[in-house]
Amino acid sequence: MTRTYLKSILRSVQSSFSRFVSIVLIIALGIAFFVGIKATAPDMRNTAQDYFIDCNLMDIRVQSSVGLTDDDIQAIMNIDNAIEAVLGQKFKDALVLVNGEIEKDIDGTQISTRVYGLNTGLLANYLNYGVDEAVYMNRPRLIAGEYPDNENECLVDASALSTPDSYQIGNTITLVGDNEDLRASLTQNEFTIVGIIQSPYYVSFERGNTLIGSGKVGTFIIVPDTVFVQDYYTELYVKIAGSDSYDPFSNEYRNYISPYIGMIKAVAPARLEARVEYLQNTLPSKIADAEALLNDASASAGSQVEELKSTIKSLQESKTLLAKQLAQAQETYNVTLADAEEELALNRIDYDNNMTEYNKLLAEYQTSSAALAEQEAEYTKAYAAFTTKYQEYQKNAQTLADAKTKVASTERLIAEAEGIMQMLENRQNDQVTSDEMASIRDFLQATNPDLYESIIGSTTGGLASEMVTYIQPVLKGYQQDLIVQKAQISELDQKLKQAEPEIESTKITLETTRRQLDDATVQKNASYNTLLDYSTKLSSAGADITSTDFQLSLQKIQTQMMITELTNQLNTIDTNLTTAQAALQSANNQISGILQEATGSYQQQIDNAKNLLASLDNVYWNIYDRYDTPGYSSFSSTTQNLEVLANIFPIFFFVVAALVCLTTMTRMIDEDRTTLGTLKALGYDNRVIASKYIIYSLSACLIGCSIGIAMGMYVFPFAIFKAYSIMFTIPDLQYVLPVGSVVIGIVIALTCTLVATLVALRKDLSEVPAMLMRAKAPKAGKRILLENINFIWRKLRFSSKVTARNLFRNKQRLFMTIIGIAGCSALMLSSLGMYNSVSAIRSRQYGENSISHYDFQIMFEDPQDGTSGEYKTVANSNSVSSTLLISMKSVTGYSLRSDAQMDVYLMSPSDPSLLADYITLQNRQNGKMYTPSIAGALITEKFARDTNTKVGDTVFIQTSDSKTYEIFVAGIVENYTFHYIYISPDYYAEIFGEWPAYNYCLGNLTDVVRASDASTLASLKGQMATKLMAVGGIQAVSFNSDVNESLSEITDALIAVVAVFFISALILAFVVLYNLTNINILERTRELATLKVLGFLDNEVNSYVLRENLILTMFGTAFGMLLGILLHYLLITYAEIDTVMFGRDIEWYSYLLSVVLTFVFAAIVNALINKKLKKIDMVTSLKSVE
Amino acid sequence: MSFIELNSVYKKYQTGEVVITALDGVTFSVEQGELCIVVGPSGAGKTTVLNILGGIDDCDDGKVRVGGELINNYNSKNLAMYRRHDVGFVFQFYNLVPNLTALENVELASQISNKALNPTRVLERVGLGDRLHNFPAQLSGGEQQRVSIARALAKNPKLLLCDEPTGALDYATGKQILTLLQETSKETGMTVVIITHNQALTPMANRVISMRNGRVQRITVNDNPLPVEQIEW
Repeated sequence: MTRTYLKSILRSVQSSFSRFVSIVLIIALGIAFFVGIKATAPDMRNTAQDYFIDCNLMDIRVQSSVGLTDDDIQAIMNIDNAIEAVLGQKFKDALVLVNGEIEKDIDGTQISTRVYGLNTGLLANYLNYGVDEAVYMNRPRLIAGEYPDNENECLVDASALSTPDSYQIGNTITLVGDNEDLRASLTQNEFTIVGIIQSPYYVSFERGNTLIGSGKVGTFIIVPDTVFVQDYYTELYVKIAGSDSYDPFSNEYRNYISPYIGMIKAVAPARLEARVEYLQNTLPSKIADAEALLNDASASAGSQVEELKSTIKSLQESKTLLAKQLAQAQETYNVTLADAEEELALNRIDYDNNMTEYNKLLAEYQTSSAALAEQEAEYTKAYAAFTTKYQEYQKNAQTLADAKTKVASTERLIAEAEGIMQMLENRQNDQVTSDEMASIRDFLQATNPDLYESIIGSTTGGLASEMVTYIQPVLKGYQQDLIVQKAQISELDQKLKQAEPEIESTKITLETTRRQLDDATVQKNASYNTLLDYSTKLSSAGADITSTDFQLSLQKIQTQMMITELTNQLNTIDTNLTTAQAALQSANNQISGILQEATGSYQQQIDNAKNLLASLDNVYWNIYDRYDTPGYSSFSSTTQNLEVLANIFPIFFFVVAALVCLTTMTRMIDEDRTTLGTLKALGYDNRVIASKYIIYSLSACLIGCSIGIAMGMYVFPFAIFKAYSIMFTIPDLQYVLPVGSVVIGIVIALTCTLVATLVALRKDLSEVPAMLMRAKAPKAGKRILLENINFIWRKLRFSSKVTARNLFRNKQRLFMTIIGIAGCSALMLSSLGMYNSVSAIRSRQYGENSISHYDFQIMFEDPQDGTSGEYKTVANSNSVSSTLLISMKSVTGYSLRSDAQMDVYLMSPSDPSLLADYITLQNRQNGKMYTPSIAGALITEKFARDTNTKVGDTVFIQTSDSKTYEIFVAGIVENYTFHYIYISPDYYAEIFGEWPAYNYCLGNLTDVVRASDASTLASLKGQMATKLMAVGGIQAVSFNSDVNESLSEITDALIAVVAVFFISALILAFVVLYNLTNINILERTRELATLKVLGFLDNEVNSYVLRENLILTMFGTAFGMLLGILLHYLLITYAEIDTVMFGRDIEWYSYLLSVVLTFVFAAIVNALINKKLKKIDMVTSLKSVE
Repeated sequence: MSFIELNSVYKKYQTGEVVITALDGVTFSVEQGELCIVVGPSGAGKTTVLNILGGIDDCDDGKVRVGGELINNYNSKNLAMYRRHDVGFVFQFYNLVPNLTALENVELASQISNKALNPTRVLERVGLGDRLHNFPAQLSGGEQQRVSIARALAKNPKLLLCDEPTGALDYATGKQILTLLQETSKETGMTVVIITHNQALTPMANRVISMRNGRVQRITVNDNPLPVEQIEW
């Protein structure tokens, strides 16, 4: 092979990267699924095997009905050198009290706890010195916390399903016996949890059976074995040398171990004989010792009882005394309070009256005082007005007087002037004398100074006439003045005369008013004095009130103090009383308690010893291998089921992957046809040419394998084990490369790819180069079968005809697409169907119209007779409409037709005809209803199937005391959780020789309670449970709704596994659909381009292709549904776990959903393809055929 | 106005870093009812001309007018309708849908056209009246090309475009096909454009457009085209 040729291979990878990737992906997916699912079971088994080796799980377990001793250990050790070690183990089954209540399991029964003793010496050697002793078997594996240091510390079980939530590090648990005194067995009954462990003895959540409680071991704890009282071992663990080298779940291992079981069986009779002899010799004296102790204890308890009785007597006396005192104090208290209150009320009335009076007077005084002030103001105003007027009058009078004076002076001047005038009269031209002149001059000087200054003064004489001219005007002026002045006077006189009477009258009025006011003032003052008097009176009244008030307060305080004192006294009396009563109560309790305390342990020892003695005529050893340890076989069968799954599921993936490879390679080689021809023409031989495609596809395949293996070997085991981890408690999974499946997977993948490539190449390589270089003759059109059916063909539209013919044109692609789509939708349907089946466990068992349609189940301490006792209390409860007594115990069921050994509940209803009200017994397939009768028992479906039992067969049950009974099967009934054998009381009596002990009852709530809303219902149920649990003799109340809830833990785990499958199916569906459709388009590019040239619109071209895809999808889906139903059937048959049966039906919506999802994917793929269609270049139609 | 008018049409292809100028300013026109041959060596750009005329490719510049419509402005939907109603395409390699019979192949085209001719009659006209229900693989090359022509004619297009219609056929068959095309043009007045590299065919055409290196070298109008029977090559 040349370098150029290698280069061309690399180029083709590069140029068709998406094609290369699609091969890688599909191969990766296929092989991841194959390897992953294949690896899960081996991973789980390897992990378990390493765990068993690491924790040194015993190979054989020996139990004896009379206990085992060190001599027995020695005897077994002596049998064979291959018996490497024998460990004596003590355990005791007990019930657990948390907060005073007995812990319940998910099915509502009491949790019985198996208390294992841990050999502290072996543990110390192992921990401190790392001594890996073979004898240190079933080593607990610490998950959290630490190993116990003290006798009151313990380790608890790590399983989430079986361990109560209260088992947390730091909590304290209290163990109680089931109707027995644990002190005869354990020196301690309170243990602090210090660590959480896994035990290789318990790989699943199953814990086996016990004689106490519900008959099932719920969980276990490990305590230092020094707390055990017993001097013998409950069981022995045997280790066989070399057993670790076998796969613990293989037949080889079982075959290796089984001879030793036979050997141990052989020594049993001798050992039992020795043991019986020893017990017969020692037990009677033990009993006698215990009886002596019992008597002593009874006696000392008796004296204690006397002491208590006297205490009670004195307490009762003091109680009587205190009660009397209390009565007295209360009387005193009541009387004093009444007196004080009466006085208080009287004082208050007085005070209120005085206050009212005072207020009234005050108001009156204030009113009158205000009125007086108003009048005074009015008077003052009137007086002021009068004064103004009077002053005016007096002014006018003065003016009049002045005017009169003026008139007189004027008249005097006039007279003077007239005198002068007379003197000068008729002497016109005469000179005046000097006297005359002097008088004139004087006159003028007085009357007319201006004239005098200007003329007269300097004139010493003149003519009389001249003088007259001087005097004349002056006279005239005076005369005029006189007239005016006289008029003035008369006017003023008039005015004054008018004003006078008004002034007089006003004066009188004012004087009257003045007098009145003075009177009023006097009255006011008098009234003020009266008020003062009242005030004084009021003050004294106020003082009175204050003092009364004060006195009252004082009295109140005194009363209060008295009350307080009395109350205190009262309280003290009450407290004393309570203490006295409590002491009385506890004393009463103590009487029985002391007796129980003192004697119970001895009584139990005596009982135990007597029972042992009684059983000595029927002694036996039971020898078990690992398959008898709880959960061991279910772990084994689960991994086997997974292997079945691993064989079914991946086939689909591989088939589909191979188909996709084939299509892809065919397409690639078709595209390269011309190149192929050219290479051939150039002289390359077929092998070299083929090698290109083989290298191309194989390298894609190998890359895909590597990716797929790397992912698959982790992802699938992780997810699946995660889901199972709720049921199995083993260490974290070890991922081991499953070499076998890897090789097979790679070989299958390579073969598929290689064959696909060769098939694709075969035709082309056989042709001559010239032929290859020429355009490949288009695939001949052919008539399809449908065309012969004329009446249909003729009715088809043209486009339908085209589609129909196109569909069958490429049969290879037709089948591939249909198978691809069918495979994917089958995977989807079966995954969804699995989901339905798992969900049905809860819904069919506990949902509406379900099998267990009773509302609650109650467990009694003692068997009930149905007419009295605790049962009546339950039946008479308000919320309860009906109840049915049943007997139930846990047994191991099996048949001779299969290896299965199953935990089964044997249930016997007290009245079989009423059972239908609580549990529906119906055959799932034919719908026939059953009632338990003397004719035979009814067994549940899964138990029937696993034990390969048909109606008319018999099954065997082994009770916890290892007795075996045969039971005839009259019917097989539908049931999903746990396994039941329903048996009528008369048939029970026939088998066991005694009537069933009715230790449980089933019940229904009233319709009113049932109809209430969720929260009310929950609280009603809570109240009912609390009330019933308070009744002595009722050990557990469990509601179906709670059981249903708890079951979700298991079903959710399974649903998670289903989800892994579903998601894988979805991915596969998408890859396949895309790939096939894409190739379909690529192959027909030329045809589609031609359509476009012919004038087809984009959407017409799309629908041309879409129609084909749609029809293929339809056929594929339909085929897929059939395939899915088949696959679902295989799955539920093989994947079931022991305690539950999966629902058999696929719900309608699962069909719908898987169809819809397939179409949705087809639609998405079409949308992606449409883009590609749009991009098709019409020019390609012109090019030569490739 | 001529039925087909190309005016300064440019087309460049970019393949990788190389730019190829397929059409470098092509201008010519064809009259209604003419049989026109576009001739030239490979790489001359004649196929590109055909693609642009057929509406399956677009030009970078210039104007393309068919029947008065400017088709270079059409969007993809308009172009599809143009191809559907106005253009018949005859391919060198026939491009028949292999799983449809001759009749069905014709129907494939006629069912989408609004003025389609009767498919059976068209097939009878091209001389395949007795091969209606044969699949392409059962027909000879010439017969397949006849189906192809029938498929183009059934749409009753205004324009028939033929891409090397005789390229994959032998001499005699090729002659028959050309005769069919010539007669169709004459009888129906349909405009026919034939692409060929064979210079010898040119006498049969009304108009010959010679191309070289993306340009029109010469346009020859031939008023008296020879019947195909008289042409030898």
